[in-house]
Amino acid sequence: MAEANEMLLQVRGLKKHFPVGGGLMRRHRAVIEAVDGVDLTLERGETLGLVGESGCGKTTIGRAILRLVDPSAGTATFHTALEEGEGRRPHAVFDMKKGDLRRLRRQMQIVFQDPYGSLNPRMTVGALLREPLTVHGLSTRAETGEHVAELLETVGLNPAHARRYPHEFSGGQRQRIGIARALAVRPELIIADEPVSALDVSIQAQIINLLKVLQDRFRLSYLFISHDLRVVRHISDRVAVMYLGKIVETATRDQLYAKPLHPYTRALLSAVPLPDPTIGRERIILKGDVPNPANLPPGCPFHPRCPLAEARCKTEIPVLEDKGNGHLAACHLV
Amino acid sequence: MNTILRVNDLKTYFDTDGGVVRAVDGVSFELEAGKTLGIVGESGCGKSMTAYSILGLVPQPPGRIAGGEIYFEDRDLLQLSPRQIRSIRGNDIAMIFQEPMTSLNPVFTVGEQIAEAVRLHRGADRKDAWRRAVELLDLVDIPLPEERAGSYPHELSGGMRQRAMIAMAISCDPKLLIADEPTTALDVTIQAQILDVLRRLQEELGMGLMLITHDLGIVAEMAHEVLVMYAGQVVEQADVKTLFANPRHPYTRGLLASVPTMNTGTEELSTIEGTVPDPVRFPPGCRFAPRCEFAVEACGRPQALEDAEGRHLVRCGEWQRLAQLETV
Repeated sequence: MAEANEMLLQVRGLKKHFPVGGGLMRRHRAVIEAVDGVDLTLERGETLGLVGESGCGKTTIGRAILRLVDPSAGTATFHTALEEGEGRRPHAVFDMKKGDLRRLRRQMQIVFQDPYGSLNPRMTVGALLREPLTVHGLSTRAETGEHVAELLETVGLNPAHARRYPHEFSGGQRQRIGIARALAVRPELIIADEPVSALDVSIQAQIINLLKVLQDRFRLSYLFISHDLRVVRHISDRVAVMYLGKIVETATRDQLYAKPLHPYTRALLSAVPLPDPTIGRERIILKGDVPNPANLPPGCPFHPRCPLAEARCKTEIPVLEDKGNGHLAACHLV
Repeated sequence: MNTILRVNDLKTYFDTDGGVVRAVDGVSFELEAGKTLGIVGESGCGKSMTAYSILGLVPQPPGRIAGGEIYFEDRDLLQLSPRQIRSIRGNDIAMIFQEPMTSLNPVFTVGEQIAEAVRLHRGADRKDAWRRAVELLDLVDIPLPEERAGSYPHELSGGMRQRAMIAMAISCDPKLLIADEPTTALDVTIQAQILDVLRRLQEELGMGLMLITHDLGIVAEMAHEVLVMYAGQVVEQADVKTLFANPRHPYTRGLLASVPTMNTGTEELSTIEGTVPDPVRFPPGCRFAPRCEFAVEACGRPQALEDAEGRHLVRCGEWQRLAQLETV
């Protein structure tokens, strides 16, 4: 956890709308509110787990913060120093011009789910790791060799691997390369988008442990995006649960897993299969599918699947509010 | 006890430019009617190839069945002609896959596809087949089944498609259903629904279910009997309670310890160091030895699958020593 709660990132009212339909023959266009008014805070050295099922908007949030997609509304304030020796001050990420944005990106990096797709197959690992250093003008030609070797060792690879190509590595090793590339520029924030979802469990554990070690060593902050509640529990300090573009619950890790409030979070937790055949659990099985985001139900977006839904849930949209001890939930009934 | 499937020393090899890949290398097991056998292991351990071998779906070449027997009821499937196999596949043995989109035809409605299966295997007329298709969709909990029968696969969500796939698979009352990672592509709340459907259908229809998965949680919840595979071999086999309470093989133990859980501490996860060996060059002795923290010299010799304690098989000559380490 961060010492003295130093703020790193504050996101307020983030929205991202995508137009759908339309095209040459059809004029009708609908709008999908992939992210619909999200607030997030992240302190230095902290991990915020962002969980939810496919299509809930969690990936879009990560991309909007990095400005890989342009947000439709909202603000994001990143507290950092853009230049060596400069003091830390807040930067409005969504208002930044190209040059400043590039300097800011040195402080926020991303690790993707698919280490196969995110590494250029024609570049050696050494070249892949040198690239961010050159782009950000961080080390001279003479230093980069050493820097690359050091990075590889940091992520548990052999410095001699610098001469090899991505296809020569296993999935877990490739993910280590992806992490080394993100670390190369010494960022303060790493957005990890499903970084272990494509890996086998024994390899998954290695990568989770590595991320934790690196966090302590470099005082990194993680926005850890995942659909896997087991993994999120192991790595996060705080957790935010998303459903259809909105955060429906957020709390510290211990609060959330010990006493989930929102009926969606409860169903999500109870649906995780546990590796213990002697546990007889009361499982909450939700009815139906996630609604089409282009055609959201009125009221609480979760009400058609909610086992507790009442009349007001069909008309009033619940707001995310403090239900005690900083444990926030968006539900009329808890 | 009514054994419907008996696999004996199955060997499925692939001839590649790099050498012979022993994808399945001497696998034996039995499955009783009405029971679920969970086959668990990581990518490339041979769990899916075992299933494909049973159904005669191994691409030949480069694949070939290099040895063994697969008895379904009283016939060795490996001795049957392709035509005989086809009549068993779909009628008595059905399979569902991870990604239903690849096994559903995109240009026919799901109702038409299920009805076709019913007509082919049951010889029902069109009207009866359609009625049966709607019944089956209802059986797998698809809401508004009459309407949904007229939907094309792309109009359905992933969970609905997997339900449609299950409906098709059970359309001929198979005695054995093979499910290969049936919920891996689905969200966790949808996964819970699908597992629930499978469990219910198995009970109602008395099918044998062979469930292939990498998720130990799913195995714990669904299986009666478990097979743990590593590098083409069975390394441990036991009933589900024994396996999770007293895992004996170091690989099983490592695998269990590396799963992030929901109820224990959140300290460092244990890991299994290293990676799976190259399938062309398996180590001559125990295939897990290079990654095993307990390996001794004797592990350099091939390990037999020994009976540890009452129908609990372990492919590790050191299991007794390890069990003692634990109690000290």
